[in-house]
Amino acid sequence: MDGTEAFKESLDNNEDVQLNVKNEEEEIAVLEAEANCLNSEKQEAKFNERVPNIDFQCGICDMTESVHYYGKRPPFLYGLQLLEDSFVMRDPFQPPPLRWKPKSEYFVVIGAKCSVCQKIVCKGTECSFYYTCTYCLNCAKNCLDVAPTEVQAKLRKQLEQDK
Amino acid sequence: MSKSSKRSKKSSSRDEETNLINFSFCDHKSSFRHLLQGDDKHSASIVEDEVDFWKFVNKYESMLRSAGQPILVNPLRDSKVKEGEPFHKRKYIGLQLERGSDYEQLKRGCHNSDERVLTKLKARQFREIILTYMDFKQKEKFAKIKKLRKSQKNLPIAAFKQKIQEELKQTRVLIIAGDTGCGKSTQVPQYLYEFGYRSIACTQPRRLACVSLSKRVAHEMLDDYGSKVGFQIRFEKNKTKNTNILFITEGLLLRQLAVETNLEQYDVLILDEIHERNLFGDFLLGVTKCLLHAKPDLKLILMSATINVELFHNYFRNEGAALIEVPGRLYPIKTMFMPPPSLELKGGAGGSKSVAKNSNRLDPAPYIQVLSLIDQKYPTTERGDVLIFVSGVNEITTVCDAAKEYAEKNSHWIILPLHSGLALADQDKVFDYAPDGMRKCIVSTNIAETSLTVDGVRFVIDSGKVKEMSYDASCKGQRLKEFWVSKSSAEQRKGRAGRTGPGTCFRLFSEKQFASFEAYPTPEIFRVPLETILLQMIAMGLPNVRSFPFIESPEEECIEQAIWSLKQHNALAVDEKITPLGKSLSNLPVEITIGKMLLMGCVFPDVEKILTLAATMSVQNPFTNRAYTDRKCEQEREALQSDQGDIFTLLRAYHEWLQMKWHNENTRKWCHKLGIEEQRFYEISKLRNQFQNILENCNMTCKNADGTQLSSAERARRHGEVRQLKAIKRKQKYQEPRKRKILKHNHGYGGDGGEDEFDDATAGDDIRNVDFRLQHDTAKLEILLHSSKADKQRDVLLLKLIIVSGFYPQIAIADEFNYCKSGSQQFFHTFLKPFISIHPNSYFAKYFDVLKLNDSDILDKPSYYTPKQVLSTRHQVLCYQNLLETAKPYLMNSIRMPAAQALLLFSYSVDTNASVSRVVCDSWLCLDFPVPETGCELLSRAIKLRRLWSKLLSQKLTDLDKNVESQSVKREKRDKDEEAELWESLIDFMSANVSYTIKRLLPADLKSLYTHERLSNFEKFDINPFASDYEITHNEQKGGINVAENVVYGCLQEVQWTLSMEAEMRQHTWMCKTCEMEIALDTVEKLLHKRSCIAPNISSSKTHETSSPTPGSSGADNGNAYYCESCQKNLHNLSKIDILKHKKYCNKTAD
Repeated sequence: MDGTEAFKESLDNNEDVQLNVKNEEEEIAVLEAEANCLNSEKQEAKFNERVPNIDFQCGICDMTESVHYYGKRPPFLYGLQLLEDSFVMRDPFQPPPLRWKPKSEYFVVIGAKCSVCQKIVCKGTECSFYYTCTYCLNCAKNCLDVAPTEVQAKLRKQLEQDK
Repeated sequence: MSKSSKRSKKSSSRDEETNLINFSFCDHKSSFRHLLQGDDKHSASIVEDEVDFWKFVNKYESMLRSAGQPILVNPLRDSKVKEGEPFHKRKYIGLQLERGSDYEQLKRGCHNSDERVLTKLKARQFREIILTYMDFKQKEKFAKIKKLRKSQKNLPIAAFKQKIQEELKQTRVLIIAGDTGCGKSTQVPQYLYEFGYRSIACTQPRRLACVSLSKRVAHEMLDDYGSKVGFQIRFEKNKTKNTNILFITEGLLLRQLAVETNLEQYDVLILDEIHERNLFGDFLLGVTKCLLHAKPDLKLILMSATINVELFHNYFRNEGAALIEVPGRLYPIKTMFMPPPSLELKGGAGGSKSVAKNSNRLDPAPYIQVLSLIDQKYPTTERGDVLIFVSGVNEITTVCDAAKEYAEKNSHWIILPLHSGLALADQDKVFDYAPDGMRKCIVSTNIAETSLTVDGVRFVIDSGKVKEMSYDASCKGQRLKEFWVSKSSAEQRKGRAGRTGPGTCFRLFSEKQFASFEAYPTPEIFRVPLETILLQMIAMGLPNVRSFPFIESPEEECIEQAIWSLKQHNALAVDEKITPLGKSLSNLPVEITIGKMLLMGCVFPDVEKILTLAATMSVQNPFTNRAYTDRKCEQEREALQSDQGDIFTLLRAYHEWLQMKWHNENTRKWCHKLGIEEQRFYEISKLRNQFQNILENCNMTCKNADGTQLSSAERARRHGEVRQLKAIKRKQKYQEPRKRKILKHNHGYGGDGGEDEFDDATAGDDIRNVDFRLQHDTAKLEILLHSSKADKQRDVLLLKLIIVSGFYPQIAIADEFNYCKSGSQQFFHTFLKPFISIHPNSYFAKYFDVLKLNDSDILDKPSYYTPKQVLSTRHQVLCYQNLLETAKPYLMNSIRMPAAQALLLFSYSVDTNASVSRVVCDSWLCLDFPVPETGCELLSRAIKLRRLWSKLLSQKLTDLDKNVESQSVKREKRDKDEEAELWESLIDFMSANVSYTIKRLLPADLKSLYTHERLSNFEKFDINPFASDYEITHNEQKGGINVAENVVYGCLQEVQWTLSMEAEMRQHTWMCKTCEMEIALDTVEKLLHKRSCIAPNISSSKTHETSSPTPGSSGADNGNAYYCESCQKNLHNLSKIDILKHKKYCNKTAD
């Protein structure tokens, strides 16, 4: 995706002031929210919501992260929902959104439970496989021999790649 | 594209099927775009970057086309996504759009619902593309995190995480030794956070490292936009209440320690890079050692390269320190000892601390030989750059010139110099890539040894030399000399070749020489003046600085000398307790001299000017080397040059720069033209603000009322401006750090590829300019502009006085034979060191005539004055900022001052003979005043001014000490009046027209200088004629009497000519202008008489020459009558000063 990145960059450089000012309001609001959060409990809660407090650890690769949400409908997700309960993090690569303003793609799915053995696994290709639901690679090997051939082929490819 | 769209219009209406051969969603963006919006009241976009999305669609479509699957599959019903059979691609995706798939829902929000295009099928297929895109983006983001974690796990330090945690349970002091690249600086703070510590401070020797580390660690903790990780450096702070990890410079942490004793706020301290043995680093080690006893919960982690680890381990042995050694990650490096033949002959001659021989000029041939060796042995297809270490800027130039010549024949070389005097933009070039088939050759000082890491280096050529600053306490000068490096430095240099792959290190010295190198470099504490650090220690309340547990103690003598000097500066009292002045000085993050300037200037009416001056003198010289070597730069500078001293030239340049800022002009280009490093000017502005804040915070100056009220139009404009600036700033902040570019051939040394860089960068693009404008609104800029202006003689004079008040005793006097010698033969003498030159870049070196007396300045001597010295009213001394010895000892940044006036005002001890015709300052400079009474009079005035100045200052300082918040208005007004009086009289004093001679005393002269006898006519002194409220005492040491804090009267032996003068004087009677009595009196008797005679007539307490008529004689002309409101009298013929004095007296009596 090098081309995309270069394109994004050129877009950034040509960004006109109008666009900046729009972001400006956003940032001022965020800053103000932060500044006001000291005493009011409500604000405190709002701040805490930004602090990840669910521990996630992949049962296979040990990847350890603190995430913000477990379930299908994270409050910070806009226009989308997840098909299974997942460990979801607010997108660390985007500036935080305003409360009243939805933000697109402001999430990263980190992992889920294996639908067979219930082990927590991350989304990495060396740890899990998704077809209608998440499988840990072990269970995937065992269970998917009844799946459509396309799925089996893909799984085989994935297993091979990771070797 | 247009072809296919035409076709698609025709076909899509006919059949439902979506065939990518004749249809593309990209051609119908307006019909499908609404599906990218949330189906709720916000209708906000659900993709982060729509442009990126359409690019993806385009690629996705062409991928399907080329895979031979141009007909899009039927979309899957939302309800079927959990069923395993039949196979559908969408079942790989765990996401679902919130917007439903009814036709109604699919059409909602569409502004261009062409029924033929936006069919239900296509809309649902488009939805699946959106999901595919979303899934792709998710995988990308996840992979980014996973990759980050993987690279963290691969760091050598990661294997020790467990061990660190375990050790920390057992001990309070943990030493982690690991070489560059092992990851300790980035990972250990994070580990601690994981272990549950929530307020972690990590010190760094360099500001830049604080900023970049905090950015890196925040990124690794996925907290780029949060505030878990912050930094605090001299000019900037990025820290909130929620900050858990703080990167802070060593100096700042020490200052925090000084303010908040025991650092309650931190639960772990990490001291990083302690092997560098900085002054502050060493000091911190000692302080934290003490701190461990005072704060039992604190954990301390020391991190160093694997250099002399045992030293640190032993130092904390009693505290039970544990040691973890982490292996570095270096590729094998081949070492080749290649001593140049000429050096080998003299082989072994250099013990590492003996000055390397053959220092006249470096021979670049061996370096070029190695370059050509590399060319022979390694094909250019094998990547790998060269890093050459030499000792200094001149050496860099020599090698660069030769290498450039070599590169002309071998055009695959790009030569890049690297040293700290280089403009920052030029420094950055070393990080750029060489194009394929080319190599860069970086010629560097030891800056690339540890401070800067350049990746991709495969070959290191090490001269084995380093220029090191050392401090010579015997002449209070710094010395920059070339030495052999230490073994550990040589190893560091070598290590730079093996960071990205196996490498080779060519050492231009022999193995035998290497064996004779010192093991480690000299710690900074042995190489710098200790005043600042000792003062800070005392200010922190350390009971006895002499017993401070330094890891390696400096020599006792150096400590004693520093304490002595602090006493001289009046920062310490005789009993070594800190004085109010000392306390305030310790608050200022600058050298003692500059700090003193700031404080002495606090009673100066125009404090703004002092702030600017002090800031200007505290930064690295903005004029780069090029400013002095390039003819064009010199020409450009000419208009700004001041004959008062280089600091005034700099001040003018800064003023000019501000003026350009005022007019919104391109300052970058201008700076380049003059050879100025613009960054320094920004630093001056920042530092000045910092000074102002510090002085305001400790009530030394009044806060400026918040400027003039802006009109609403102005406010609106400023508001708009601020918004724009903030937007630019944020954009820059969130942008990736400077990307490494590919070097062009002419970008190297001597190429002129740089010029246009200054044109295309508009002022708004420059983040420093944005910062500057954010900090300085019109009003502030105006103050700054005004404060940097010193074109009036009077302003210059006052500023010079302030400078001397801080820098004394850094005074130099011209050699008596300078008048008949050429420019390079002009010598100056300081108290401690004779025969010093002025730095060749200085104005005074070139235009040395301004330091000489003109023939017309030389006066005829009275017949009784027989010594050969020249009589004049215009003798000058130099006051210098520092003394630097490179090839020769040089005076740096000097100003010129009227000699007698400056000396009488600032000398620590002023000794006189009975008639005050002979005055010796600091037992070093002797002033002869052969015109009767003139010496006495000048001294009286000096004493008065000096005492007034110090009274005003100490009032301010003691108020501070007692925390007197607001002084009574009356008192403040009186102070203001006194201040005004002080500065008026100082200017008068400095321009006093007194003829005298000046001579440097030699040790032999001192033997017979003092009488060592009590004054014979002591009983006459019932009143102190110099300072009425100072009690006269005998001076047992020199003889004579103490008549003021720094003045001993009558202790000098009379000499031939003073006796002759007295004899001549006695032949004339003297008429007192006040009481009109004619009496025969000697100088002091006159003085005493004047005191007692005038005392009752307050209205004219004149002691100096202006011949005003007797007060009260009503016949005098009353053209300039002054009516005093408090005593309701008309007063005549009073000078401004007299009026002020009168007012003061009146107020006093009215109280």
